[in-house]
Amino acid sequence: MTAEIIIIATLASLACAIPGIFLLLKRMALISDAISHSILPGIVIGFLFRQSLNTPYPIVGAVLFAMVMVITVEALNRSALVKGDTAIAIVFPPLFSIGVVLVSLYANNVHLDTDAVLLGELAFAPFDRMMLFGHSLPKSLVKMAIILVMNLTIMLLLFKELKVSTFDPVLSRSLGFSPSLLHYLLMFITSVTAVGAFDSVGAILVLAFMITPTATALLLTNSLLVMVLITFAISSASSLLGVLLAIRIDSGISGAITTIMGLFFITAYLFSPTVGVVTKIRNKQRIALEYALSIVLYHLLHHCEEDDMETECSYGHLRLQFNYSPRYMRKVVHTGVRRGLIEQIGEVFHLTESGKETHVDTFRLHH
Amino acid sequence: MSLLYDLFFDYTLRNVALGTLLLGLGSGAIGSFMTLRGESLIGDAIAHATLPGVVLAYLLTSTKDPLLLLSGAAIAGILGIGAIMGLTRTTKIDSDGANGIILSIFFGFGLLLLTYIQKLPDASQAGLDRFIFGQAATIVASDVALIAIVQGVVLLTLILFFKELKSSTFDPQSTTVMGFNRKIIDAIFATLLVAVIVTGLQTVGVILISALLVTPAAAARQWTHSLKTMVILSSLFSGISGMVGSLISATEMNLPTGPIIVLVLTAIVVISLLFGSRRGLVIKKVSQYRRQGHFDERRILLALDELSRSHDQRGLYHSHHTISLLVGERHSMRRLLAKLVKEGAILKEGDAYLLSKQGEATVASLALEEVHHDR
Repeated sequence: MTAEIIIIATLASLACAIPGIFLLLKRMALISDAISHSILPGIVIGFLFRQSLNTPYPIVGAVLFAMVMVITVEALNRSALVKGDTAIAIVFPPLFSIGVVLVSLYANNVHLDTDAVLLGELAFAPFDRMMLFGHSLPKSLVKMAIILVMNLTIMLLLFKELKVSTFDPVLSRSLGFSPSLLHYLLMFITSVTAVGAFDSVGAILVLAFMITPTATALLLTNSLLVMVLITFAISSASSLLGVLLAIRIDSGISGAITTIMGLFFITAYLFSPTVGVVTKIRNKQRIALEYALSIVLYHLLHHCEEDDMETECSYGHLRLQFNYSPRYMRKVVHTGVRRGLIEQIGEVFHLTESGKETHVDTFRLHH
Repeated sequence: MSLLYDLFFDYTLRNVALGTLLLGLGSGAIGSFMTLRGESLIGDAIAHATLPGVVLAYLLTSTKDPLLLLSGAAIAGILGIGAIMGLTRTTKIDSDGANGIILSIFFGFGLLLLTYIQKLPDASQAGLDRFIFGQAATIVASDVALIAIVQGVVLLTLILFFKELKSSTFDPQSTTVMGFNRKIIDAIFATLLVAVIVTGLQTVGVILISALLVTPAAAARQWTHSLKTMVILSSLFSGISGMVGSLISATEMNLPTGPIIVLVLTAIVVISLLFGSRRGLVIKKVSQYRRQGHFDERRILLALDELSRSHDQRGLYHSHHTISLLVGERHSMRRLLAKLVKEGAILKEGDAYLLSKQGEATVASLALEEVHHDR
């Protein structure tokens, strides 16, 4: 059963990641949050239609409401009456509210409560099963597999088009792919994926599954293809580790997976080889050290074989000259000694032969 | 009438109505600044980010004292807003992405903690999840007092720092030039925002609190171009919606309070978008229609003037058809001609028209106007 849960979680996170990549790059990550909230009334109405979640009606209803949301937001943005994200922020709450009101009016006694819809519970997924080709499989597994295959197919077939329309809508139009058609396609697969994932992942964390792994990948690479691969790797690893964590501490699964995704993100934020915060600090320190070393070398060269060499090139004088802390001064000198640029004879520092050469090079470089 | 009676004498209803009214006053005011800064969704992110704070506060202290839980929420909220600002500044992730990431990581972690303590054998944690959806009915007098104090402080701070917040909203550079410390102003703004959101958690919950910030502001914007008026209007819209929403939800159907408040607010924003006196769609259409009509009237007069010049004989009446050949076919032609006749600018005979003396004077003044424009 654990294996099944892990498979469902992985399928769901991979399926979510595909629209997520393009949404994040198009700077509209939060539309996925708005979509996952706006589909609630569609699901409820579809449910009330046949009193069951296992008909296509909730999905159709959900996609319809998602499209209503997207179209309304775009109409509002075009009208220029509100600016920026305001359109999203005023359209999805009422739709969500209608959903909650409908649930409290009509669906109170049946298997559809806001907790389940919003928070999701993957642990129950394996109990709801269906027969497929003679095998008994969890319905969520089949559903997420179908959605993943759909998303993958669309991404593979339209990779070039999606890439161009994401990064350069104008070029895309001039090449003959309609950016708005691709936009609506993206909105459509986002909605279908959100509907498919909401009962296992929950409406709120659909957003986490869609954009956190992608954002992590964005910190690690500048290539779209590599980004897709890293995203998939993080999504799968988080699903596996998250399910194991949830079982270990007996907590909800989607929260645990998101927490792992969050840890990946924080790690990348701190240690990314290109933009990580710690990496940047290290780089700054390294550059500062190189600079300190080069001016010390310059000073030594300047006073080399002069009469005042004994005093000018002593440790104490160097420290006074550059006003470094004793610790930093030692670090600078040690770096020079380690690289064979400086040697210490008694209390006085001398440039080695290679130190002189290196210095001449840096000197030329600077002038 | 019984509703009004209940409003004064029913303990729960009075608390709920008063609480949501006060909450709305503060949220609408700070929401105006949030929206104008172009950060409409940051409220949503902060609200979600408070969840781990609530749960951790409970885990560490094992009490359900609202003040303590809300302090936890506030700390988490401040951390969240700091993280969002840090992410947008230091990485290539845009503000939408940063909001989404912080929202999901914080909320996911909060949910992990919440589901973890819900399965502990000790059952005293029951009811923490009301912060997610909000349960207005659980508000007691001390909660209302807390809301009143916090909203009072928020409104007072807004008034005190109005000038600074205004300049940092519209022209961040000038704020620095004028000698205000932008970091401090941003910190004040963030603190006020978190304070309002945190006090709203119990009533409307994590998911819908953002609507109380953004929706009234978007509505108020349609009625005015002045920031002061906008803040006051937004505050009133939100406060009134809070109270009306809680009263509606208290009727026998027993509807959830948060969603009803949001629906009332949405009704206000729809009305404002359509009829708002400054930018509303209907107003725009009407004034466009008026301008068009005014323009067409002038063209009819000029056409008649031209017709009379091009004929040697003065005082000839020209048919509707001839005029429309010059002006272009318009649906409104008959209406405009009738209007001009009524005003006395043209004379009518059958289906033919002629400039009156008054009309000629108007044409002359139009020509003069044109000369002025040309200069």
